[in-house]
Amino acid sequence: MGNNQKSINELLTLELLQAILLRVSAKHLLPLRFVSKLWLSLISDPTFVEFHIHHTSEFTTPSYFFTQNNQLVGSLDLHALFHGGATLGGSIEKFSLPFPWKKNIPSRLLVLGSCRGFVLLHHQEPYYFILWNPLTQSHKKISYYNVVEENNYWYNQNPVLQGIGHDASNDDYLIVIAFKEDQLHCFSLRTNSWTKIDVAPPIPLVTHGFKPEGLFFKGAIHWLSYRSNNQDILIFDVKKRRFSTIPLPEQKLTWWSSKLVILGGCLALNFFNYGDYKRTQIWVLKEYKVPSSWTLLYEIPHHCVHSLFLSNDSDFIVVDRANNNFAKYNLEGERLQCFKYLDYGFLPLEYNGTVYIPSLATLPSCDKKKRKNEDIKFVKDDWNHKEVKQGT
Amino acid sequence: MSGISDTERMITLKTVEGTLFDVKSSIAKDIKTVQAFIDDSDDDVTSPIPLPNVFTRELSRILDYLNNHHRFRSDIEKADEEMARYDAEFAKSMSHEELKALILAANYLNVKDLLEFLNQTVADVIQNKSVEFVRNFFGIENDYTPEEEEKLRNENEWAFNGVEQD
Repeated sequence: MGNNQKSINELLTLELLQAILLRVSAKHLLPLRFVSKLWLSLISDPTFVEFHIHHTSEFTTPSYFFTQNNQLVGSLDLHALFHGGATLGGSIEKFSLPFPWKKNIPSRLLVLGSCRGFVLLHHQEPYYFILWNPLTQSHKKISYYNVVEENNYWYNQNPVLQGIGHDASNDDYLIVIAFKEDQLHCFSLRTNSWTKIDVAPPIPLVTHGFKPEGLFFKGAIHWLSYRSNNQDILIFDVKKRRFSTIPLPEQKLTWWSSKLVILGGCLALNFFNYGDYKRTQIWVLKEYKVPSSWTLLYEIPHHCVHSLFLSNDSDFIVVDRANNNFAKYNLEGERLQCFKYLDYGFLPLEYNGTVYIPSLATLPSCDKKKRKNEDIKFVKDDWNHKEVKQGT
Repeated sequence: MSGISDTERMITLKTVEGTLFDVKSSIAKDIKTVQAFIDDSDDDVTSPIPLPNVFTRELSRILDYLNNHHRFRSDIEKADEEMARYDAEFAKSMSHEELKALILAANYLNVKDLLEFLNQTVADVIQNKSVEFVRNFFGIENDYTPEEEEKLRNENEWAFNGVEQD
């Protein structure tokens, strides 16, 4: 061969190397920082991390983050399981929680959602959220005790709405929470503080009127709202900090068995019925914010099935809580693959699991200016740099 | 549409070794470096276009790839399926050395689709491999001192779980 005199390393441009690394999953990129100092700086570069998030969100099979017994937290690599020939046990990676955990206190650790590789965890007592990237370990504990205290929410401890979003215009993460009143409280990571949003939501924020966990999609947090006559999706745009709504499909749906998901790059509704009509339906909003584009994509002939991902526009990966398995279906309703999860000692219940796409993201700091597209430089210390102080 | 016909203009490419390849102008369009050369010459290319960085073996593979993809694209129905099968075979048929030589050639010639495909192929090769494997693959010298490496490894133990042994 002709290039023997030089190694590929000497001939490979930085641009080409970056293009290759963009296609390696976040999990596998992390150890590659140790290849050389140049690789460390390439993989740690904030601009690269951002490109990588965009590339993976478009092309990657997500993972399923879950908690078990309030202690075990882990991530199930759906790609390895359904496309890589791995076993269920071999696809699970366990994590340690990023903070001391008092095992003797019985309280629930809920998984509320995910955003850019971060998961939002909620601890009911004593009122805090944890925003955590299990891969980079970047995290922050966010107390909302003051919100509860100042507004006297003591008797309505269960939030009506909760959610996480990312404002790309200034790389800020927002956590929102609403209680009984028509008020949304919003935590900005950049300002490190809670503010009250005074824009009235188009739907009264009443208890038992919503699925409280929000879904982040296209720069906004989405919640399913239920009222006797109307069913809508309530949308909160995290940049404009403004509300809007989209009506659900006209067919009568039972709200408590519905869930919002992202399937094939579209907002979708997973809905099932326990009655005579035992089946799960998946509706897709083919054009965002266009109600007439709601399409019944698919039906599975039993209930308790939650869709997680649509691969190649043809296969659904689901978690089937009636039969305790993760499964893959095709659009014709045939089950192609199935993995029983009970043997592995975890039970993905409603509030202890979420789809997430592992990323290299770290939380932006509260006071430093956003780093612009700087030249690549050696940023060795940035990785474990405690930009965000651990909770108070 | 300018369909592919027998009378289509041919371009001649010349590799480092001096081997000449006749290429249809519709194929040459996908080779951006060649197309730029043609554009710069106001389409008046009579002598072979020299490719000082490209060897015969790589050019022959690249032209195979492009010719096959052109053929697949002419049959819209089966295009995706056949292309995926061909690409998988193409990736499998290469040794690591061939893959590296080809990626450099595709990069120099600026063949966008092929380069993306080869980038993905390399990413798949190094995914889940040890740091030592990747250094070997790219011929990279470890420039960390043992102390620096030890320090980083201690700080990042969690990142090494589940790496394949080679």
